Amino acid sequence: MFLSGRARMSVLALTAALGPLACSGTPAGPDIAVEHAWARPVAAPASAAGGGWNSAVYVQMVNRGRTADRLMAASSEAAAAVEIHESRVEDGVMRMRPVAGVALAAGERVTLEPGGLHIMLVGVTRSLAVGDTIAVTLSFEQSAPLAIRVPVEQR
Amino acid sequence: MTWRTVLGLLVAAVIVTIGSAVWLLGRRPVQSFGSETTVLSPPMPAADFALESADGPVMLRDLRGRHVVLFFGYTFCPDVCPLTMQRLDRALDLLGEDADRVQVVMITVDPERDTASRMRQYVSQFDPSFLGLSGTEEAVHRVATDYGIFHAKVEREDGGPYTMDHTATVLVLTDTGALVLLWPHGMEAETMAADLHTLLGG
Amino acid sequence: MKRIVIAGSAVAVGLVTLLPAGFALLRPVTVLPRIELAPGYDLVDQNGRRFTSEDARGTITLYSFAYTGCPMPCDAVFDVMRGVQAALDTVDTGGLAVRLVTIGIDHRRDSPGALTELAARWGANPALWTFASGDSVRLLRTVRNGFGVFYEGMPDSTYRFSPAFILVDGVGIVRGDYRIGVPRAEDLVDGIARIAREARAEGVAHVMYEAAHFFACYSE
Repeated sequence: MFLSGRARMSVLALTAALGPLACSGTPAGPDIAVEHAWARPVAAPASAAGGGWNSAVYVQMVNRGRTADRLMAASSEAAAAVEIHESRVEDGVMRMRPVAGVALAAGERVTLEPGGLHIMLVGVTRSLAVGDTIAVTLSFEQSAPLAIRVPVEQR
Repeated sequence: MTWRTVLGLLVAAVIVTIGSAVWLLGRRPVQSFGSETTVLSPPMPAADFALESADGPVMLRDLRGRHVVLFFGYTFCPDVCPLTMQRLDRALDLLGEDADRVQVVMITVDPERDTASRMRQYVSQFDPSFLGLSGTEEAVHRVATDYGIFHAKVEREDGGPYTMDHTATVLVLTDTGALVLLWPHGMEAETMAADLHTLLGG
Repeated sequence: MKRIVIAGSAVAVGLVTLLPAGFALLRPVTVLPRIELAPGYDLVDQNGRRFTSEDARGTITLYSFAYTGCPMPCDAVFDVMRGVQAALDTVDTGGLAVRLVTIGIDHRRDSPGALTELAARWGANPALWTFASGDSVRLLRTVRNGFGVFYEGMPDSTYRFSPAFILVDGVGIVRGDYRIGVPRAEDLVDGIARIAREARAEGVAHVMYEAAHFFACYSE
């Protein structure tokens, strides 16, 4: 788990304050863990006709805490911009739209996977080859930002 | 041999015939394809098109001799389009040597951003044999209309880069350029490979 | 015994060859031909909402073409469409949706408001009969290039055009193209019923319909 120091401290303080009321092992606030992250490889040729090249990051997020949280945004050194998008095929039509965030109810696991929710890398700064690792930071409404290392994988 | 025997044989023959005819017709061309596949038998004439590849102009008739798997997408799309491409690549792998008789073609619905060379760069990431096509806005609109592909640019309120809505159907044309199969979005590579195998006379 | 087997096999082989020939000649089942793919389009309906070829997919759709203030031959077109709309109650489509669409070819005058008026004037049931139009480029691509229906603006702001009725199945394939004279509503309704019957057929019946396509047993 990658909770930043301050978040960890506040959780500890809160737990201590609530004392016996707090169920042991379950933090009072949200507690987000990220698992099975991977990024789609993309060759980004130098010529920029039509703009940069895009890729996507997929993760599983588990909120092990007792209150809801929300993935609000993401950033990465590997892309000019990072957005949260959802792809959907409705009545035979492929659509992709930016979404305002991903809700993480207490105790819930949310999977970002191909053909649905994904973290879109808009304009990658370099080619992403299988075996590479990129740094991605996920920002939440409640929890402190999580910095994760995401392997580039062919899946 | 009594007339009874002859009659019995005739009845048996009729039953066998009707049974096998139904079975044969049932197998080909109707049931040997995936349950989600729409089969057009006989294949239906398809409109020719005139588009651009990175190596110059391409018309549908230039691809005669190979079955054509045609789908529409755009390179800005980092999620669903690569998924389709990967599945098609895997389907060709499953076909083995027969893959040489199939040409996968991706036509952009976003000619504003997707040049012919960009299309080649995009498709060759998945399989160097794939053909990526673009063209003038008019030419792309023409082919999409002819193939029943709805597509529309979707501008964003926040001023971010636009996306495209488009029909996700994959079309399969025979080696003589006639439309024979329609695949809905989300077909598995195994089903696509099995359909192509049947189509190629396996 | 051996002779019986040989005779039996001969009869069987004979029947196997004769059956398809019999099918082709006797035409026990007929179908509407699969003519071509219906065009993909992106228009706006009488409520100002986007109306696309994907909205029509999955329903049997009858297209016709007209424009606001059209003196001739639109009245005849609307009469037929109204006749079809009235007769749809009598058709058992087995739950398959049917939609009527009239595309307004005049990009200047066929605004959603004008189309609403047109729909009301001809008694269109909005749940069944959609009126749609678009800008000049979209109309040209959809109507002239897509459906192959010729139209041309005249100096007196009328249009020269050949009326056409085009019947499209749920898959998005043109199954009927009526453009010589004005067809009878009964014939269009019959076409709709045939498409519905074929779409619902399963098992052996489905095989028979496919065989009818295969042997080109097309209904008149």
